[in-house]
Parts: sequence; structure tokens; C-alpha cells
Amino acid sequence: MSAGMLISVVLNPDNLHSAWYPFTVGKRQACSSLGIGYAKGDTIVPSELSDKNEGDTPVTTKGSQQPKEDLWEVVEGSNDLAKASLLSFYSVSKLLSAFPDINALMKATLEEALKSVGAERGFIALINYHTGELKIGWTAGHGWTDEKLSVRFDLSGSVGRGAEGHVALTGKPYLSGDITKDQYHSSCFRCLLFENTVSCMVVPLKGRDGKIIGVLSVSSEHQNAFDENDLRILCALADVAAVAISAADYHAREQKLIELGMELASQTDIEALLDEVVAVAVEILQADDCSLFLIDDSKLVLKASRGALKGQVGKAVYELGEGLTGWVALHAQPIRLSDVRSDPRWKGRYTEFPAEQIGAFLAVPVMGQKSCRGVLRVIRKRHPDSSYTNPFTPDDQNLLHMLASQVGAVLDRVELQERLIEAERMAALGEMSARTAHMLGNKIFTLKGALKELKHIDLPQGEERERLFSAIECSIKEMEELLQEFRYFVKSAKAEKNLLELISLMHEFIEQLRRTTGDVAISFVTHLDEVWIEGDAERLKRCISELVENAIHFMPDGGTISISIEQSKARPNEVLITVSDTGVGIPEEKKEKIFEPFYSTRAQGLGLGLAIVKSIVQAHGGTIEEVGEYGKGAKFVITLPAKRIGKQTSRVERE
Amino acid sequence: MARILVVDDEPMARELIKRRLERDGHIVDTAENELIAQQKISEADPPYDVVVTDMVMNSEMSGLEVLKAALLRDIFTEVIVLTAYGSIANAVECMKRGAYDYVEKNIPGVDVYDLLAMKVERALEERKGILETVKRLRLAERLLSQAEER
Repeated sequence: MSAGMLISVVLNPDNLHSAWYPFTVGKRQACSSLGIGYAKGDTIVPSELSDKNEGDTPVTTKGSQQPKEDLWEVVEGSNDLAKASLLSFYSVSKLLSAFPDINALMKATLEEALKSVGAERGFIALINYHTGELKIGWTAGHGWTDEKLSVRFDLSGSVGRGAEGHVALTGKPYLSGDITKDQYHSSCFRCLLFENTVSCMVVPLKGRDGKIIGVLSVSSEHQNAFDENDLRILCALADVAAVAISAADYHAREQKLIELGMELASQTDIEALLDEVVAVAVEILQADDCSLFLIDDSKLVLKASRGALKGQVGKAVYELGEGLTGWVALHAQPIRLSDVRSDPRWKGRYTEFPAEQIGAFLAVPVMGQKSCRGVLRVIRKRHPDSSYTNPFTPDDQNLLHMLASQVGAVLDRVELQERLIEAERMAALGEMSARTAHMLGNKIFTLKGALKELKHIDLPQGEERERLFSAIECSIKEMEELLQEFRYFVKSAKAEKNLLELISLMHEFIEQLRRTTGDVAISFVTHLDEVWIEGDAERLKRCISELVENAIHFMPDGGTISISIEQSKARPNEVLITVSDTGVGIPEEKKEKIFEPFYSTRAQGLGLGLAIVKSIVQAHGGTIEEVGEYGKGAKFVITLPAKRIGKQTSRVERE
Repeated sequence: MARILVVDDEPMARELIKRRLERDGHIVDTAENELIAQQKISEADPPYDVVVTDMVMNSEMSGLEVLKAALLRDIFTEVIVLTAYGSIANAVECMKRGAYDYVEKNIPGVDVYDLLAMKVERALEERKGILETVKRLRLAERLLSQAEER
């Protein structure tokens, strides 16, 4: 099997401009075997392959013509050198498939290029579409200083683009035997760098969509150092490099998406999440700005943005169907444009940049399970020199669509969670109401009886009368207590959320508790300095005091209550508050029942305590369970989501 | 003049029902839940004539437990069940299992204590009639068997 076939299998055939390359290093030999003229001191313009247009200095184009001879005849004719070439190709393609560090690959490719074509220096420069500049990425050969490496070539200049600029903008390769004779391109990029360059070759690097991502340039201090076979070799190597760069790009994107995917699965702070999505979108799509709108009450409201619209978060509102964004939401279809003003749907109501500055626009619907939940849109600025455009590609659209659907999934999940918690709460409330009504009924029954006795014809005297009156008073008091607990239970489900620091709150509160607990010792342990949560201080204190009271009640001969606050290992953005005692503990079958309203093993009390604690904890977005060992004591574990854990940073807290 | 057991977990309720029924000349015992009630029922000699019991005490079916215990001790015991809010299903269940009647504690404007006392009287009346019938049946049986012997 020929090495040539091997190589065209490894490299993506679509990137190869022609199927076969004559692998020769011996220029004269090759040229003569292909019947091509070779003149000293001239720019090579083989007649069949030239492409003259508009007074440009003639350059060779890579043809789709087959070479005249069969590949292997040519190879066989040039033995060792040809094989050396093949081997070098093979080694470069091996590097590509092993996928190592992109830098190593680029350097290797350049070294091979220099060797294969007999050049003295070379470099690969990539286009930065934002700034409109060529920036040197990798070099080979001697003489490269830091200063030279930092030179940027502005592509938007209209005069004297130079060979590299020309290739970057047109995508056509360039070959010159004597750059000094080429007036058009003489004041070029490379010339800025090395004065005694005479011959040079520049080929484009094209990405997957055919978009030009950079150039590969080699040069020599000798005249006519290169012929068009060298050009073909260079093109092939450039394709290798382009594929590798594209692959590295995709890999980086993939990493970002994986990270984002994991965060989306676990993050509960929706605002932070949406900001993250918008930031990632800008990065992986190489956009200039991104905004995310969500449907709220039948209108599209801005929920996250990076640039100019950031201040309008929560305020910028579209009607469904209004403008491009509104249209996307209404029809649940994407829109991808270059010139927004030419689209009749364009409104221009809220824009990240003025309309004339928008170079590319892409908006996709955020789909939930049932319907469209919003719009995710990205924008690129138009470059002042409109000689090159940077539109969004179908690939970009698919990528954005994928991001958007992840957002949709998260929103669905959050909504379902909220509904579930609400349903549980309603169920608990229903149960609570039923039992409260029952107990109230009992008290009223007693009241009725006592009043009746007092009204009786044999009016009870003295002690009996007192007893009856106090029974009435007692009943009324108990009814009021019942009402109070009931109201508290109802309110506890909706906690007022303020930003508060948990550790200091607990320290203070436990100090207070210690003064009232007598025989029982309370210990408080934590390794955290600060825990900031959104919550209701009073209600959280109520939770702790309820648990402490229960513990004390079940340790009539004294004991120890241990309270601790730690960061959850499973979910680092949550804290665990543990309250355990040295009492009897709770048997397995009762561990869930104890949180039901009116469950009580105490003679006194309504048995509402733990139900209220659970309700408060749930309102804070947390959970509570009892995990102690029966016989060794009870152990309650409360999880709460935290905004920030540990040491306070200098970052300003989001409002 | 009968022997009555009142079962209710609310202390004042027990006392008030006891007072009302004692006014009608009955002898009243009390119990605070079905466990204590079962104990008293099995120890009572002769067995109680009437048992007035709350439905929900330790569990939602406490009243039915008391009913069962009372009837096991003496099939002719009249049991009246007090319910907090009438659940028809519960009431039907009680009657099917042999309760004499059930009374809702919280009907607006109704004097439950008087109603209860009235039901107790009626229960005792009917019971007298039933016991009379049973006595006669037994007598008839005896006479028949004596006739057969001859």
C-alpha cells in the first residue's frame, strides 16, 4: 500500500485541494519530469496553472488538475529524497492522530515544511477576527526574536497588504521567486520582519467551514528557491495544521461545554447559572455579546447579558412577536443573519450595539419540555473594514441551540422541584388543617359543657364553680395557642429572605440558649469561618431552639447536645447543620413520622414542633432528616444552600 | 340507673359528661384512652350497661377498639360513639359493628350533652325490652325441652 494513500486516509480528503501531490524535493528534477519551465530570476508562472485577475501580481493557484505523470513514477524517479519527504509527512500525520499538544504539532509541521521545500524561515499566523489582525502563532528557523514575534499585521489597511494579507483575505496561495520585484506585495508582513528575504510562499489555513483561519508562510534568502511543487507540499502541510487547529478549537469548546453541563446539573442559583451560560456562549462562539431572555407572564424579559444591556436585566421587555427576538420566541424557530436592518422583522428596540455595528446576529429559542421558554441570542460586531465578514455558521447555530436546550432543561427541572415542594407543603397544610380543626372541636365541646353546667339550675358552688370557670379559661387559652401554632406553621412555609451570616448567628444564639438549658451542655463546632445564606434569621433560630428543646425533653437526666456546621462534601455549595443528643434516639419506623403535624410522644404540647422545623427548612430550599442510631441518641441533619462559604472575598455581593 | 363508662382523651370532657350523666342518676366511670378502657371493661363486674366513647384518641380508630372490647365482654352493652366531625363512613362502620348510635360533638347550636343523655335513656329502654325478650326466649326453650323429656 502506498504511503500516499496512507496519508490521504489520515488527513481529511476534503481539505486536500487535489488528490495527489508530487512528492519531490529535487525541484529541477520534478519540474523537468512534469514538463514545466523553470527560469531563473523570474516569478514562476507556469502557464497552465496561473490565474491572472485584475492586475494582481500573478500567483499560482492550486489546481484541481491531476499531475501529468502517475504519482509513483514521479516518486520512483526521485528515490531517497522522495521517500524522506513521505516519511516526514507520515511523521507529521502520526502526530496529528496521536493528538498531542497543539504547539508541538505546529512546530513539527513547520520544521517539516522548511525541510521539505528548502526554506530557511517559516511561521504560522492566525487571524483574529475581532481586531482584524494577523498574529504569529508558531515559528521555525532562526532569527526570531521576541520583538518580531509580537508584530501584528493589520488586515484592514487598504494599501500594501503584503503577501500574507493577500492570502488571508482571498484564500489563494502565493508564490514568489523574488519578492523585491513584486511591487504590489513588497511592503509585506514578512518584510517587516526580515530584510533579506527574497523568495517566499504563503498558503492559507482553512477551517472546517471553509473559513480562512490563518496563513502558513515560508521564505528563503535565495532567489527562486521554490517551485509550484513546493507550493503543493506547503498546501498539504497547511491543511494538516488547519485540521489540527480546528480540532484543538473544538476540543476547547467541548471542555467548556462539559464544565457548563456539570454546573447546570448541580447549581441551584439560577441567576448565577444564566450569567455563566451567557459568558460561555460568548466564549465558545467567539461572539461580542450575548443576551438571554426568558418568558415571564407572556412577555420576554431580559435575564442575563454581558455588555451594554447588562444594566437592563429585569427591565428590558419584548412582547411576543416583537422584533427578531420576539419572533423567535413566538415561532420557536432560530434566526441567523448578517445584516439585521434588512430583515422586516427587525425592531431594534434593545440592542447590544447600534444596528449599523452589528455584523452577525444569531438567536435561538430556549425550549422547555412543553413550549418555548425564552430566547438566547449572540451578536458579532461588524468590522469597520467590511472586506471580510464573520457571519455565524450553521455549526454555530447548532452549538447555541444545544446551550439553549440545556438552559431549558434546567428551567424545567427547577420548576418541577418548586411545584413538588409546593405540593408537599399543601399536603402538610391540609393535614395540619384537618387535625387543627379536630382539636379545636374538642376544646369547643369542653367549653359548651362547662358553660352548660354553670347555667344549670343547681348552680354549683365554691370550688366546683371555680373549677368550671378555670376549665373554660384553660380551653380558650389552649385554643389560642393552637391557632398561633397553626398560623406560624402556615407562615413558616414562606420565609423572608435576607442575606445573613450563619456562623455568627449560631454562635450568638447558642450562647443565649446555654443560659436556659441547665443540666444539659450544648457544644458548637465548625471549621468554617463564614457562611452566607439567604434566609430568615428568626425562623432559623426557631428551628434550632425547637430541636434543642426536644433533645432536652428526651434527656431528663441531663446529657450533651452537639451542634455542628460543615460544608457538604457531596454538594460543595451546601452546608450541613447537625444537631445530635445523647438521649434515647428514634426508632427506624418513626424517623419519617416524627415530622408529621401533631405527631407527639409528649403528653404536653401539640406535637407541631418538628413539622414546623421541616416547613421552615424547606422554605429555605433545604432538607432535614433524622439519622441517629436508636439507643445512642437522635441526630438531625439539616442541609441548606449557601451563597458563599469560607472566607469572605473582596468581590461585591450580588444583590 | 345504670353503670356507664365514659372514654375520652380530653380530661374536662370526661368530667363534664360524667357530671351530666350522674345528674340522671347513673354511676359513671371514666377512662382516658382505649387501652385503659379495655382494662376497665374486662375488670368490671357486672359489665357496664352503656359505654360512651370518643372516636379518635390514640389512633383514628380508637372508638372501634373500645366498641369491640365492650361487645366481647358483654354482647348486650350499648355503645355510643362520639365523633368530632361526622364522617359518614365512620358512622356506618360503627353501626355495622354493633354500636347503638353515634353523636357528633360539634353541631352548631346543639346541646350535645343533653342529646347524649337522651340517647343513653333510650338505649337503656330498648335494652330492657331486648333483655325481656331474651328472658322469655330462654323460658320458652326450657319449657320446650321439659315437654320433650316427658
